Amino acid sequence: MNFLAPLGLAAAALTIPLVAMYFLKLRRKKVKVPSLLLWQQFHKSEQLASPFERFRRNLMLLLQLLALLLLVLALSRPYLTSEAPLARSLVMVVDTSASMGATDVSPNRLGSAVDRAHDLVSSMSSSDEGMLIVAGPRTEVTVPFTRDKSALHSGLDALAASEARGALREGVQLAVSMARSRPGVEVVVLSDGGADSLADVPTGGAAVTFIPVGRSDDNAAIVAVDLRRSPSSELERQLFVTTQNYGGDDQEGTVEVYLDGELIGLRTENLPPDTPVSFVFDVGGDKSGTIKVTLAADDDYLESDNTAWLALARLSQRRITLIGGDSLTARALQADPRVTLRRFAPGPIPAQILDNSDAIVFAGGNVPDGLEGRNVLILGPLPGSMVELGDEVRSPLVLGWRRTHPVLRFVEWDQIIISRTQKVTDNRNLVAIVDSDEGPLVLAGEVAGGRVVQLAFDPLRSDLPLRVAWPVTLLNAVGWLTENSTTGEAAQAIPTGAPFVRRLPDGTPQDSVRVIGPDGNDVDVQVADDLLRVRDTSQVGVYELRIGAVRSAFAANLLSPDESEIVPRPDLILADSVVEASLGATAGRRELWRWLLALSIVALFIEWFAYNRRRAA
Amino acid sequence: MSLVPPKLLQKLARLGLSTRKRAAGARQGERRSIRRGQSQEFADHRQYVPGDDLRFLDWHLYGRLDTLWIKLFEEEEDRVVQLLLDCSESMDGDKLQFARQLAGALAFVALGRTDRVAVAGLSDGLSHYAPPRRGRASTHAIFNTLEAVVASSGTDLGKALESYPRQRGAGIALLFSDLMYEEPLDVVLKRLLSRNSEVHIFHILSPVDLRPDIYGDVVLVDQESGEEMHVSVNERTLDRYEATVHAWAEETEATCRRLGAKYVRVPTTASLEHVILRDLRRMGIVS
Repeated sequence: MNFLAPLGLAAAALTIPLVAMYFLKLRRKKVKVPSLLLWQQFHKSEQLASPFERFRRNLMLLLQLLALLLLVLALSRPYLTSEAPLARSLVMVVDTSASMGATDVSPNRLGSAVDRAHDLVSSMSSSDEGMLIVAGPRTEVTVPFTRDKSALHSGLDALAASEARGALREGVQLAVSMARSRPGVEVVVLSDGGADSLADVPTGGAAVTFIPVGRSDDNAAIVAVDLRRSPSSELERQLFVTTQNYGGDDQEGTVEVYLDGELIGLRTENLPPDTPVSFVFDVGGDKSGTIKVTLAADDDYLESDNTAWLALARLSQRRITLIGGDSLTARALQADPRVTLRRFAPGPIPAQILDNSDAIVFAGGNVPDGLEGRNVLILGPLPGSMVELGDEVRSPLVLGWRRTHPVLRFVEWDQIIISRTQKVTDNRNLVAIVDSDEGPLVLAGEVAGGRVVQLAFDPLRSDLPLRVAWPVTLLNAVGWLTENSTTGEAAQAIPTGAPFVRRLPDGTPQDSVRVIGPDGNDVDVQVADDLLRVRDTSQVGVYELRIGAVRSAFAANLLSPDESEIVPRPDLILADSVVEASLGATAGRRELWRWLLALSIVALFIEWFAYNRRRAA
Repeated sequence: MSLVPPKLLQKLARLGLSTRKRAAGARQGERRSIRRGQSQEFADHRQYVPGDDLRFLDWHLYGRLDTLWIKLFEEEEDRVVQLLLDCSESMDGDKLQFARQLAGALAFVALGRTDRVAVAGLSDGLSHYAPPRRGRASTHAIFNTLEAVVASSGTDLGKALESYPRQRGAGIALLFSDLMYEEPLDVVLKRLLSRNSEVHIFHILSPVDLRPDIYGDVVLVDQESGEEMHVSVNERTLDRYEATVHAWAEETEATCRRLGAKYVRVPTTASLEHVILRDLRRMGIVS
């Protein structure tokens, strides 16, 4: 117990005159009686009959002393340090980000924070009001200012740790703005420090208290998961898993990969502190289903970052229509087992064929009009090409090519000998991806929603078809052209808490769209302007998307190094102040003077009662 | 005559002080004496011896028996009624005034029967004294004497009684006192009884004696000695004090009864008329 006004204790000196007055009997009045004879007799008998009378009189003195001492104590304003700030209006910001699910304290950090918040609410007087702001994936005022403690208690009981990155910053901003807008507001932040930087949040003089939770930083997490095409094979996919140990000591981590519940990969590695460790697993191109990646480590207090999910789609078939061209070209295209090739002689092609093609390869004949929006590969300066062609030039010298363009992957163009090409006079929205001293040799780009690859030279007038580069280039081109028309390598994966947006076919009604969350419950969806929005993605796992009869999926993963780094923060650094962690010493002072004053009054009342009782007796 | 209300005196005129014993008085009075005297009431005969008054020879008996017999008569004698007023400081106020009035009334009763009445004020010595007087005519003088008795100094009844002149013949001593003195009562009573045939104690107590109107922490000051005493008083204390006073009074009454004195407790709040006409008549002190 400490004192705000220790000088008040000096008033204890008043006990001396009180006792002196009592014993000196300064206030006794003199009463004349005819004789003391009887009184002396009576006094003797009284002392024999009631030895406690003196004590009873002293009891009154003791009560007076007690009342005085309580009053003196009240004057010195003693206080107990507690977590209950002296605020008339309490704004509690409870962090419900993923890191609050850490179990380094029992039952977990959120549970501990909620317990403390319950204590705060319980310590509120009847005139105090409280507000509850939840800083989870979104910032919400779950209980507005109220004096109803039960509402605050039930608001706190309803809290659950999310599996998403938190928005403590917004929560604190909201609370501080609340504190600035009305007087007597104390903001209490119950958090492990959170991932957000609050360095640009000014308190504006608002009273902010930080009650930290958590005590350990031991955690190993999956911080990244990616599924990529294998660099060695168009048909293979690789799963990249990056883990990190946020604890202070080395530990072993075991990463397991399941495809639809079947273990397809397992690896154990040493995880040194603060160093990312990557794992690569091969996933076949013809596989589909749900990939679940788990990390098991010994010192690991946070569960939600130990699992990542991916919705894996089968690589889809590619329907290619080849117009003209030789068998070499046809065989090169068919090297990809996903390709379904249909060959047609140059000439008019039925529109139905074109509609059912993912890409059309022109290797001869004329390129017809009306190919806008379609994926087209034009192998040579054919009539009707997608660019304006000029004169024929000889032996163009390759000056450079875009190595990063998907069409040019794994191909070195500087060794390719081209005897003749046609000068491109107008690119028509296409971009040259292979350039020569005579102008573009290969162009690519999007025209009216369809992708186009245009060769300005006839391959047969170069040594390209004789090279390995030929089938590689063809497959690259077909792959790039058809990229949009398939579901790709993996379904989209989003961070938990981030909204999921997908374009829907025109006129899709809202009631035909359903999203089922990882826990099997329907998730609220919004359909507007042919866009599907899923806001509540705070659970880690696979969300099933049902649009009419079509089913697909997307995954949501925490994958947040900020949340996985669960080291408790010692303070909150705000723009204009540093709020030290309050372990009870500074968070709140519960002054006791009211109680002491009340007790003093009670003591005086008892004294008065005893006095009257004595008088009445 | 202002000491006792005239109306009361009228009522008292028919009364007289009763007596239990026959006492020898110095003068003839209305009381029967143990001496055979000259009253009209025949008592006995005895044989004549030379020197006897020949007037009392029973000549009828001489004629019948031829022997000389003397007639003996009950002699009616007067008595000295001694009004002894405690006039110590403790009696100051209503107690002494009540004592004066009561003594005056009883003096009036006594004088009506030709008793002689003496008045004495007793404190730590004999502070007042009026020798015995006889007859109603002395009433005024007695009353004046009584009124002249004022409270002074402490109480020493033993010393005061020693100074009190011994009266001739038997008498009735009426002591009016609050009996608040340290000397044992039986000593005082024995001293009075040795000189008088009858002793009546009028124990005069004021409300202050019985249940004083004080409360809280007070200092009690003895009116006589100035001695102080610190007490804390509440209602319960007063109840117990009152009980102590009553016990003391009863003890005093028992002592009086044991030694043959009559005890009358007289609170000053009582009516004088009521005390005399009812209480004292009932006790046989007046008749």
